[in-house]
Amino acid sequence: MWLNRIAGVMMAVLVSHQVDANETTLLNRWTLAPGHYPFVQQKWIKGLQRPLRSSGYLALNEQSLEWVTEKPVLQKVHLDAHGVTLQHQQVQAGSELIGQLMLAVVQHDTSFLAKHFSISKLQAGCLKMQPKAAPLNKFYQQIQLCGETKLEQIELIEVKGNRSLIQLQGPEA
Amino acid sequence: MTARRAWVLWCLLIAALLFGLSVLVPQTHWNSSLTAAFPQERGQWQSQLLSNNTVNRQFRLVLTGLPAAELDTVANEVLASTPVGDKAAWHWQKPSDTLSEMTTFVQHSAGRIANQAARQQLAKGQFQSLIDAAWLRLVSPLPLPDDIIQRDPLLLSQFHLEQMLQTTGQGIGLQPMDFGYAGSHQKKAFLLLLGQLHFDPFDSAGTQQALAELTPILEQLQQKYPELQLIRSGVVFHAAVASSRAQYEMTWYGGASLLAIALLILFVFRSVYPLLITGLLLGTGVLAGLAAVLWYFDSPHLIAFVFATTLIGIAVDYAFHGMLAVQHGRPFFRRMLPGLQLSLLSTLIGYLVLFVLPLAILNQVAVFMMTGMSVVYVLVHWLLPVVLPTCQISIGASATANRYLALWHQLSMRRSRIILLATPIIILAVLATMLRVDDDVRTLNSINPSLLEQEQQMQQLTGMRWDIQFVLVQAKQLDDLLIREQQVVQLLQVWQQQGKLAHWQALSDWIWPLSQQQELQRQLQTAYNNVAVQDYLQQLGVVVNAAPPQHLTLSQLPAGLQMLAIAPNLADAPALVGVIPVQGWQPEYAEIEQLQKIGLVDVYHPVADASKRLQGVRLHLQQGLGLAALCILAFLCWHIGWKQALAIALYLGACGGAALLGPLLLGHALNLFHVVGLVLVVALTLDYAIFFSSNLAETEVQLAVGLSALTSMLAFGVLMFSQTPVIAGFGITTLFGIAAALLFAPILRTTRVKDVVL
Repeated sequence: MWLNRIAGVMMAVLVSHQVDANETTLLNRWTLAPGHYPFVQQKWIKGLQRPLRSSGYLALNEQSLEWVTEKPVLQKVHLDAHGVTLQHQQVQAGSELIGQLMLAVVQHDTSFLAKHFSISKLQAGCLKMQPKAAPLNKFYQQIQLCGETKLEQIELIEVKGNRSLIQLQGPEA
Repeated sequence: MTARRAWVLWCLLIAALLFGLSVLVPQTHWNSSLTAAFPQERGQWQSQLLSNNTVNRQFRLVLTGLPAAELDTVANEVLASTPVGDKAAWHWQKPSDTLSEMTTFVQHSAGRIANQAARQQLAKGQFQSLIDAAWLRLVSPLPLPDDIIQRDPLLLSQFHLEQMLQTTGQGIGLQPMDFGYAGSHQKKAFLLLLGQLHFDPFDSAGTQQALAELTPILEQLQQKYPELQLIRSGVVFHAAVASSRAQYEMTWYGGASLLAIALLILFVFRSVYPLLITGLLLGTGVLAGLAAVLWYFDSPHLIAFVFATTLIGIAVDYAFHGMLAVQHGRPFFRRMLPGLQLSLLSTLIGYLVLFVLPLAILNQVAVFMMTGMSVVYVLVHWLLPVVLPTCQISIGASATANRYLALWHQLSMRRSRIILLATPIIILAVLATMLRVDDDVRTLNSINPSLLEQEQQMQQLTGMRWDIQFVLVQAKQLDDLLIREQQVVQLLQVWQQQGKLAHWQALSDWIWPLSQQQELQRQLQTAYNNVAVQDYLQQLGVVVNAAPPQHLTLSQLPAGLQMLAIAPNLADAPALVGVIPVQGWQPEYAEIEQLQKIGLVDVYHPVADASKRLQGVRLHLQQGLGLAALCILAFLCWHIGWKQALAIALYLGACGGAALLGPLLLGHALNLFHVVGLVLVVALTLDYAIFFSSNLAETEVQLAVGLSALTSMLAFGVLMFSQTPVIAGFGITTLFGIAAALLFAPILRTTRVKDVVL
């Protein structure tokens, strides 16, 4: 249940924009319009000798978001105001807030992100988002967002040392 | 004995009782719950189950009416103000703590548990499906618990955990935060905080401590944030209201009846002396009764003392008989004593029935009354004639008694006998047609409307339900328990699919019998030798340890799940009891039968169980009362002759019938506590009957019985205005019964053939 919520926050991060007045300039540049956004993910898991690679795309609409992994296996995750739906499953109990969070991002409501993260500048073109409270801070140490003219890279650093690097492209026509 | 020596003895007795109480009171643990006073017929481990039941110990607080960000601030202020440490009355349950415990458990259980679908796939050799599922999970951006991939490369335990959290979770739409759960209802944000008491919510001292700590915090917040809306839910709030109401009613009703008695004595004796003596008699009786209860019982019940205020009514009867007899000189007083002794004996027999019943609250009332009345009798017999000076009895009171007796004497003996025979027959016939009994414990206590509204609001906002049935599974060993529980869970799954229940929590969902854990390890070893799985492991760069991991044990479960098994450690209890709480279930008889067929499985619902026990006690009390009445009548038959004993029996039937008819006419269904009222009515009625059957002067008897009945009706009748249905029912029963006894008593004299020697 909480994993789906975290997934929802992830989706929101991927399409995040203005959150804090100090970072508005950078975040405003990252606003995503509806469309398809290909991604490549590398994931370092403790105990594995090499990172796991996966790729797919994000299908962003005004009312919903599809997270589609194409390689190494096909997987679809659907998010909307009713919650998070994993492939071939029912809406996950307790995921309504995440659906709302995602929609708030799409509809330019930044109060949700500000509620869950402390946001600061990291380096040129990068922001650091630190979870404020449980359950996010039990799993994520920080989330880094980077990009010049658009959001290009997201790095998730877990408390236990696992790390995911997601590189965004697009949008596709 | 001189008056001075008598006073010294009396003062010494009071001093000794006060000293005893000064020692006993500080050690006393007061109780305020009716259900807590019920007998434990099903065994001590049932009681342990209730004390371990976190639903009773949990209380909920919803903060709403403010924007979400402000609610967070308010919640943090609540947490910062909450006392901590060993002496704190409660703590807040933090979702983050539960999450940490579950994460630790996942790390322990890695490679040692799997869900049903995965086990079937393993058994059928469908390894590719397992590999695909693991890949999906690994490449998703979701975090993984630390260090599980080496021990569980197919992530079977992780999937099982996620499925369990999904299926057993409650409170749809709630977001776990650091301090509680956030949610929204109709676009209105709210925060749910869960508190856990460190004691039984029915322990009034603990309840008072918790509320004394919590209430100021909430009041300060309410002042600081006027828009803030606080919604409370939990047994502790109801128990606190019931406790304070019982204390208030005890004080108020006791005071009111004392005032009424004082005015009556002043009116009849025209002197302060009898008032002082009566006060001392009652005071000494109350002190003795209280000391006996505190000495004999570990946890005296406040409700028992509400009932025990009736000692005032019964004991003052003795005082009136004694004081009136003293005014007529020693010979008259000596003639009165056998009646008083017979009266005490019959009343003690009545209360002895209550004492042997398996209901703590009745036992306490019985000990209080028997001790108090015995002490009052001793004082009336030996000290009253010495210390009471001669007084002028009110002419008006005597004249009223005479006028009332004259009305009865206008009847011929034949008519009197017809009335004596017909009245109980008519009353009992009407009673039989109207009889309605309800033993549901929920009808004993009225729920505070404000708290009830808050409970409903809470349920509407959070979607949570706290009405839980328990399936209890008994076993000698953990493995037996788990196997039996798995059979129970199979049935629960079917009923859940049929929409008959919402959720459950079973130990066997988290830990398996040893043989099944070993079977899983064999299946996993087969899987790891499969070509496709080896290819998957190679891609990951994982080398699986050839040695199977240690088995999961009960001690590795998170604390919140360990309560699913109880080892009562008592001689008459099973070695191990599995507790499966089931939400949203009203089990049908056929379902209970299906569960019981598994063997050593039973369904337990605290309310239904308590109601059943209450019914059992009521039936016991009815039988005991009937037996006691027969014993007393047999004794009277031998002592005063069968004709007069028969007349007393008819008189008792009429008064007892009237006592039960009263509540029925007012729309109440009868329960145990109406029968308790009936016991008191029978005791008083016998008192009156014995004195009216005696050869004492009729006017004096009528005066004493009249005064006694009036004071008793005042003392008991006031209880009918109690907001607690059980106390009100008791008051109505005794009021109707004593009124009938007072009005009807002279018939025992008008139907009497000859004088009776007591």
